[in-house]
Amino acid sequence: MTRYIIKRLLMLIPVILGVAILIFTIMYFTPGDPVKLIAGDTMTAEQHDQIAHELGLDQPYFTRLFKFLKQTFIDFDLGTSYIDNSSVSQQLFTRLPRTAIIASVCCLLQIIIAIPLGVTAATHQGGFLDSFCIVLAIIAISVPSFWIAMMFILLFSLRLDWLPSFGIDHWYSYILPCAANCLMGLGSTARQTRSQMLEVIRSDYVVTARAKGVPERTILYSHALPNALIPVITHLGTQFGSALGGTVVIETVFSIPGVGYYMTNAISNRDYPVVLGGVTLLAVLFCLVVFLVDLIYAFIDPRIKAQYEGSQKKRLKKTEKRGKAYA
Amino acid sequence: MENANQKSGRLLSVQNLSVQYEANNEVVKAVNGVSFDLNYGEALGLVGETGAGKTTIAKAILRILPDPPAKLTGGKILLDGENLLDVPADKMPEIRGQRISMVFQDPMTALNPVKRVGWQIAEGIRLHEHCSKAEANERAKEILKLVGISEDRFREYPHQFSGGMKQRVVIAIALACNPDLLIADEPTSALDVTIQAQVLEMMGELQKAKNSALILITHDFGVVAKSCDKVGVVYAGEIIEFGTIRQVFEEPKHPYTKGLFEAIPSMSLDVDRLSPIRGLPPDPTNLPSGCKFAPRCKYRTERCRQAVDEHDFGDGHRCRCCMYSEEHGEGGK
Repeated sequence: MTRYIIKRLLMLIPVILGVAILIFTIMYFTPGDPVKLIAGDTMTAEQHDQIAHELGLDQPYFTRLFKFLKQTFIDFDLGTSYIDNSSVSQQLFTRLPRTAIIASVCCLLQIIIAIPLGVTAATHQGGFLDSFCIVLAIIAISVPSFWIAMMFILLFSLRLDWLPSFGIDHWYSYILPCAANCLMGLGSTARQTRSQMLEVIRSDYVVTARAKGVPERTILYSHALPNALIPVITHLGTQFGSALGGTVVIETVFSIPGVGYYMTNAISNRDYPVVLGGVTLLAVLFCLVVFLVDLIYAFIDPRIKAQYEGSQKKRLKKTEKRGKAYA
Repeated sequence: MENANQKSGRLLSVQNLSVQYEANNEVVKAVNGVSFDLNYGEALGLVGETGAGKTTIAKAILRILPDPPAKLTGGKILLDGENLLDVPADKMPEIRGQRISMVFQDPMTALNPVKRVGWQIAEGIRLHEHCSKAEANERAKEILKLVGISEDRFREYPHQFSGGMKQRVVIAIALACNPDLLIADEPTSALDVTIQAQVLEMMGELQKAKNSALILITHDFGVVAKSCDKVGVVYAGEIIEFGTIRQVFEEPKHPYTKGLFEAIPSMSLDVDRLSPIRGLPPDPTNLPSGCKFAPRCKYRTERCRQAVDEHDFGDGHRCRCCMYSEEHGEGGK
């Protein structure tokens, strides 16, 4: 298992490098001039060239690429913003927790709400509860998050005055953004859980468990659910990943200074260091989440674990042990 | 629970059991008025073609038929005199595994792939005997040894076992709580012949040792002859002939049973061709009225299309065929 973990971690390196090179190249070829955005339209050609030289923008592609890679991965320095000269890494690290809180809370809500909802729907297939859960899920998927966010603000902030409509001054400021953001994920996770459960509760081992005299509830949660979870966890993993970069809309509606908000601004300002730094950071996080999901697989399904452990050495050791036990 | 030695007399009595599957406005009559009795210590073989309703009878006894689409439309299942069909659904788990348990057909899919084998055996013990986890594990290890698996494989997962080993584990799960009735649904059809013999022998020994009753579902007369005391021949959801092994094997009464025996290749006689039973079993959504076997029967008369009589030959040997009724012209052969 340790060998597998190390192997997987090493495999992350080319992925992250690839993402960094790709995003650098895309930004390089994106039309638009950061210098103009910094200095305004009134500057002279000499001023323009001077600023471009200071920022290193007049150098060729490869020189800039290697400089960027060296700076990011060897010096661990993400540079400073073109716009306000603030340190990108510092900015990212003050903003990341806010985005991460929203993303994790959404993930958690999906686990504690969407999975039981999906299980309930599956066990009452064709019945009222099933239709109810499906309709709920479809509504959750179809309603755009910015709209539901604004409706939440209208209702809970303006009408009822229960929760703040913007900012992150208190812990309860997170309630509305999280609720608005997780809705779509709730719907899709519930549907995914339902379809997986439907498959699993028809399988033979569930009948075996029933014939053994296991009560229905235990059958569902102890025998069926672990078998249904693998695709659901994959789904949750990607959802968490995209939530990290994709809370932009919610952050904008609720004026939350998170990573998404920061990066969208940077993209429209052609603030290269911010975009590159942000994307690289998110890529690393995303890779780690996917890696974690893979480890959870092994934890849930021993067959997958066996594949990971499938090195000859281990197997030999095991047979040796067994041989001794027989003797 | 009673002492194993004291168990005797009638354990199970199935009376007029009927089950149908309802789906897409179609009604599949899977089991039609099946009755049989079983005593402690006896082994009953249910023989029949695929789709004859053998498994449905078994699952109906345990009440694990998927509902919907399956519906029990009539009959009684008496276990020690208590009608299982009157037991509330939430009390059934106390009977399943404890008093009646079942071995399933396909060992490859009957075990939960994400649970340790030992855990799966111990679970039933933990549930029924209300003992500690350690005690249950101890018992499970004993049972594992009983079915011929070393106890240091206790913590392994089903994917680490071969097919025959898995079937042993499935049997171990079924036997874990010393059930009074063990239902084995084609326990050997997924295994190759040598393993088949081992598994059957082991099941027979354990059943005799514990004086429990066994219902063995199979389509193999050889298996029935070897391991059962009584046999019921199932055709289109009915038991068309029922009796002891001796009665049915030596003097088969029903034309279908006779046909089945004729279709078995003989070791002693040199025959060029086997004589099969012509035709196919009837479509269960559209069963013929009267005798279900009539369309394929060489002795059929007009009467067979309207009604069928149950004839008792004494000593529990009975057969559903008009041939033995007084009204039947040609009489029995």
